[in-house]
Amino acid sequence: MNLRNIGVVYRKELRDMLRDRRTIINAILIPLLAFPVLLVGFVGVAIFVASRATEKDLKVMILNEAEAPEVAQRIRRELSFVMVQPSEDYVDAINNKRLHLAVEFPAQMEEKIRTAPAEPHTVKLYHFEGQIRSTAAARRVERIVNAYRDEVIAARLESRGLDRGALEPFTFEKENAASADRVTGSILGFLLPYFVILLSLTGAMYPALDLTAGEKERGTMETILASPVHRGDLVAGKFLLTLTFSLVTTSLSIVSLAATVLGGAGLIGQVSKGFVFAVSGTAISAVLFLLLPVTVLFSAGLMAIAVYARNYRDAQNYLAPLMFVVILPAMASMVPGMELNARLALVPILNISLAAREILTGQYQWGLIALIFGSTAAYAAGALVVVARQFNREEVIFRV
Amino acid sequence: MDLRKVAVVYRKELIDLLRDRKTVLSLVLFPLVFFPLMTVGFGTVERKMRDRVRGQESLVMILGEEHAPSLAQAIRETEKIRVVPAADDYVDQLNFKKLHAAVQIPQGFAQAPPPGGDPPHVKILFYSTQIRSETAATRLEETIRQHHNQLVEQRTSSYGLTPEMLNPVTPQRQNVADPQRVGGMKLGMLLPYFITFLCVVGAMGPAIDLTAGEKERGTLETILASGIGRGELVMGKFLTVLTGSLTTTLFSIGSFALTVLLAEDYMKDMTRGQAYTVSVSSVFWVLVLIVPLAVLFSAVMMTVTLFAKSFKEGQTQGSMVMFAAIVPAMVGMLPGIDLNPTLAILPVLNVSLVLKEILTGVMPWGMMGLTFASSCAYAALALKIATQTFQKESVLFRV
Repeated sequence: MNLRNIGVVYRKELRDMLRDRRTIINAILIPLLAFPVLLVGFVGVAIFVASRATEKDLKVMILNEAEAPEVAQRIRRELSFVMVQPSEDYVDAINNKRLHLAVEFPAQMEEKIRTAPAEPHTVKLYHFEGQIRSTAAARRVERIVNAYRDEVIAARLESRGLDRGALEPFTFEKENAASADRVTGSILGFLLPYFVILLSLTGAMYPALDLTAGEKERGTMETILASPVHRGDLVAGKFLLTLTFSLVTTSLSIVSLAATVLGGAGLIGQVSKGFVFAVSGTAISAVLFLLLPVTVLFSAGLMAIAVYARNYRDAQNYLAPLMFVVILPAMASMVPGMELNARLALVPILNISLAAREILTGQYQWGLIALIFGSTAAYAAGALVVVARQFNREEVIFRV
Repeated sequence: MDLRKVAVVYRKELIDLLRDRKTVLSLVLFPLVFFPLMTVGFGTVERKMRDRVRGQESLVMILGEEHAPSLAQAIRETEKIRVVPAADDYVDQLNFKKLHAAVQIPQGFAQAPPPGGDPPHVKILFYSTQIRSETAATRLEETIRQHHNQLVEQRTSSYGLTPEMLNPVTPQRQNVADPQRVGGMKLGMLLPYFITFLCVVGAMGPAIDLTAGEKERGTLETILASGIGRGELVMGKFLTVLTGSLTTTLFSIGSFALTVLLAEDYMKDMTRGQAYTVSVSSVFWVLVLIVPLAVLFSAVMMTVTLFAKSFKEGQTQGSMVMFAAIVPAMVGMLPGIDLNPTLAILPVLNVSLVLKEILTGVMPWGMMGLTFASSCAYAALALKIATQTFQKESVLFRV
């Protein structure tokens, strides 16, 4: 193997690639823009729509206002409600989303509460289960009724000369104890591994196709084979270029995704109060490091398959199912409760997806990380050997 | 326009397309495996993981146990909770997932607060977003709530009060929506998106092949020189692309309907445990509304890919059209966006929203009519542009 020759091949291919402006757009601009646009844009719209949907024009009907004038008055005063005249067909109206909630009081509720304190009452809230506006309206009315109940209880206690707090032995609440960067990390850890693995595959895809099947299609494969460059050097140069693209796409997408999450934090913070976003630089670089053997695996694997294809389109047909094969294990980071162990650490791609999630939540299981890096490097080496072999077989290279 | 000539072009392109077995495979196989894989595959994995977390013990630490021995006892007796010895580094342990939750009991827990003062406050510390930690916190909360209620009851009776007196009124939610509609809601959110996606994907392959692919193979000139008019040529090609798009969509809807009927058990994960069936009439109306959308996608795809110089370039431009088509479909997935006359005339989004309604069992006839009419108008416009583009030599021979 001759390093200078490899350098020549690499430079030639790189120049070829860079001249095609569309490549740059595909490999760099799209992953860089896709995250901010998709994530921030989509999350922003989602939050905007959801907050507007639950805070405005909730259509509420009170079926028998006379039974509880006080509570009904409070419901009427709720700003987000639009009151609808009571009518018989409320079930139909709720089903067709013309009405979000119907409130039904028991007979003579408020009067009985005053005169017969031992009798419990139930206020019925007719709603559309799971429909967000219906649920929001129900929650608000529940709050109003509960506030009324607390007042009644306080008055009853007071009439017996008891303190308001006399019945409250203690209060309790759940509280998040994890640091901000860990909570951010678990959100990032959910999405990032999947997207980054996918993008390191697509980043390698274009050059891998162009340098093998594309070369066949253009009829330049024979020419380049006839040049005084050894077959091994040729493969090495082509492979390094594919690897470069995969690496560039991968690192840019990681940076872009992290920046998006941090940048979009203000937006999300407005809605979920007290949510602080932070990402540790160490975690990001550790993930990037772990992805190195993956990019090698993808570059070599894609080239090995694409060189077998007759032409560009043929190659594309082979690679489409491959995408599926990669996407499924990459989704492991999105499965809650799946945890890394020695056996899963040997499953390619799935291991990276899980390890990246752990790293982003601040967990470094060095033994497993080493095992993952080692096993992925072994798979990558295997793929490299296959590519080198494929290029040495004339029936593959000249398969048209 | 000569219909016979259109048919000749259509048959020729169709035969061409069908001979390539891989194209057929991606048009038919992809939608066929998509829905079963999504529901059964993900359902199985998710359920297995959830069951595992449910069966696992939670490691819990009690801080300040000496202040509330009876509460601590109740926690120790809770199923699937293992209490570990208290340590000062509990925050670190939580962060490193060695501990799932911690209960912090304040000093003076058993003593009555000074008059007007706040009652003692118990904190349940956990790691938000970690499923095992959240499970542990929920288990603790349940035990503590029971203990709390017991204490309240004791106090109530010691003051000579009855529990009823302290519970004058309770709000109670009652679902009045048809179970079919409740069940269809989540599906109605996802499905229009997938259907739209497959509708574009189905148009993309043939569109690229019949325009940019033809340029690349150098056969465009030959076909233009034949005795077939430009308009007939466009029509024939367009119909082929439309066939591709509709085939994919049809297979995906069919596979969806079959999944609903056969994998009932798995579907429950997606339908909030409600029984859900698809009616023949709703499938029919979905198809009716999809047709103008497929026409629109096919025409736009063809127009855009015709500008491409090669197959490769066609692919890039085709993916951009796909992206543009998917975004409005994604917006349609958002909860809380409801159909109104303005939204009913926005292309793609309107169909997503109407499909959402139909799948939850609502038939908004007025909106359906408006959506269908506006989609047809967009489709007709796109088709007209496609025809005009095919007349321009500068586009046809752009190499």
